[in-house]
Amino acid sequence: MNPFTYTRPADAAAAIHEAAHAGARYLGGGTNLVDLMREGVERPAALVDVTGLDRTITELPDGGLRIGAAISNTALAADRRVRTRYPMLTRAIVAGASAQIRNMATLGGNLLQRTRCLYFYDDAARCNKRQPGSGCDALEGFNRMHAILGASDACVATHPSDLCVALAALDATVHLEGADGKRALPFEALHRLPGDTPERETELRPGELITAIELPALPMARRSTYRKVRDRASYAFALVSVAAALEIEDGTIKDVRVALGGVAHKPWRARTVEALLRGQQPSEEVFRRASAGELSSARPLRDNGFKVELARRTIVAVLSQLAGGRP
Amino acid sequence: MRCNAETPTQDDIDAGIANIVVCFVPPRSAVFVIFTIRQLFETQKPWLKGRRRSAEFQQSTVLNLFGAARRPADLRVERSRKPAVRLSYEVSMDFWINGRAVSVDIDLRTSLLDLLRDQLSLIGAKKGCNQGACGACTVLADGERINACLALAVQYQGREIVTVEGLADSHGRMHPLQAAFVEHDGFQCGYCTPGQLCSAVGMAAELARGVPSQVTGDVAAEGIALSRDELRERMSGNLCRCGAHNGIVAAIAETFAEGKNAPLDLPARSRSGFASAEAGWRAPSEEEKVA
Ligand SMILES: Cc1cc2nc3c(=O)[nH]c(=O)nc-3n(C[C@H](O)[C@H](O)[C@H](O)COP(=O)(O)OP(=O)(O)OC[C@H]3O[C@@H](n4cnc5c(N)ncnc54)[C@H](O)[C@@H]3O)c2cc1C
Ligand code: SF4
Repeated sequence: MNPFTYTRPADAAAAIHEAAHAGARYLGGGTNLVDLMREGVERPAALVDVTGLDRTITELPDGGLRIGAAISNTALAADRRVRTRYPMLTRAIVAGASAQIRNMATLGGNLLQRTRCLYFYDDAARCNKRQPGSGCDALEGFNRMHAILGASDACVATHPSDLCVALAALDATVHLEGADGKRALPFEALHRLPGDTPERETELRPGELITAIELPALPMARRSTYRKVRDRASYAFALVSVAAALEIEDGTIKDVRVALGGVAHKPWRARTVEALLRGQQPSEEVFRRASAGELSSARPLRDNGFKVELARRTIVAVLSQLAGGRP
Repeated sequence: MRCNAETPTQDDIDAGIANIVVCFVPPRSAVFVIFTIRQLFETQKPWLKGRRRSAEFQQSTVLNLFGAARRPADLRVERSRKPAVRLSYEVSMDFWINGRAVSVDIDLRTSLLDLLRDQLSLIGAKKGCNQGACGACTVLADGERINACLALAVQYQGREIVTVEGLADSHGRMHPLQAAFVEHDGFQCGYCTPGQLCSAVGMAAELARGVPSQVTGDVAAEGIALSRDELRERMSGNLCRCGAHNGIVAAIAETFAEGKNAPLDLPARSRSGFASAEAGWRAPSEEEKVA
């Protein structure tokens, strides 16, 4: 691991000031960054520990919640307001990693965790994300875990977060603060598709700090859930996951939210599914058509063709479950 | 560079400049290549690319071998003993570990696990995968279970750390969970056991606080019973390669069956109080350090 300096600022302004140094990085729980530093993939010259910053959850006037980015994954999942108003978020968090890691991991760090593509970790392999222009060994390699939607010839990695899939479905807002002041981004605009620049994963500017996430008031999210399909029952990254909320009024679908994990370089908001379902009468057939519509643009690789069918079926299963009144 | 086939002295190890010899035979060559650990880490020899993990493994293996040849006491790093050479990124840090204040000079890159094991000889927490995937390194920080391997020690200054060595009560009597592990054969080789124990104690506290899990039926409901499914899911961050799971589950289920045992005997363990995570960083006072 390369040597670095360490500071633990008490407020956001001090953290942003510290992060202005060349090679500085924010440090949350360290569960991803420390691992990548040990592998030599990340080599920050300075670590700015942001776990002492805002970790509170506050009520917004409209009934939404504002969540400080330093909150632990566990504390966020266990908060009574989150559990009751946004059960899909609690379920997504507790479907991820292990209890130990969730206790350490922060909200901000979970958003910015990096891909689990094995070639990204292996510095003997070619990887455009780790070393731009070097090529991508996953394209012709072992790509069972990789993306089926929105990928490019430069990179086919997936975003590994579960938590983020729920935030995408919930239309969260990300609050940022940097040298140029504060700004807010819709959650969907935070992460990027790989295109020709897979090394640029988010729209964050250099040195910008994630200070908070806002969840809008969304009564329909009380009936929402998250389902994750993986190689073993617990403690494994998603092959495919689905976060969904469904609102049915007078026998027709009034509103619906669907986002997918494990399929793309970013948490994938399934806008096509949503558009095909609004105003329809809920039935398995309707759900099947909608999910097929979303997956029609899928471009599977050698090893991950199964994800297309798996994603279709998981969407149908989750929506059927919600339509049947089971959260 | 020194090239010594002899055992490094404790001073060398303390100083971080030990020429711990790593020997490996390159494929199709009878020549032994001898490098110091520091060179292995600090030079990026192209042919070493992708071998860092194995170099780390060799380092620990070699240390274990050397350690095994000597009396355990020799490996203990005395607090009074200052390293012969101070690396520029080495700093003085204060910790609360098993109810005691500890001050050490360590490299900023030291993980909490390496601090415990290599600096303080608290070798209960184990290094399994060193990447958060096995749970053998689980300890408690302010009563919450964490993976000490993924934690930089510097981040845990002033937090209340409890390792398996701190689970017994102040009279040295085993924690009820430890006794139950013995009773139910909750281990074979024992390597995962310290992590399992700390993890289960943290798990019981989470359950008491109402933290839901992936298998909780209704996450909005209050009060979660410790069913077998809940227990297995909540302990899934601790792997056991021997397959002693049935004994482990039985021991935990018995110990934390409704209302039976509080997770930790807090006042006996803790000087700073387990609320310090919220209160923020607190260094031990000079008085506490002496004690
Ligand atoms: C064995 C294992 C299994 C896992 N399984 C899963 C899983 O199934 N599902 C899942 O979702 N995750 C999983 N994870 C990943 C885990 O959730 C992440 O490592 C964790 O959420 C990262 O949070 P952190 O606070 O530790 O981030 P860190 O490692 O501290 O930081 C991660 C990144 O975020 C940046 N950062 C941190 N905070 C901020 C901020 N406020 N503003 C700007 N940048 C910031 C850092 O600079 C760094 O680049 C797993 C991890 C491990 C080790
Ligand atoms: S898929 Fe992306 S992260 Fe993986 S090797 Fe290719 S470029 Fe690197």
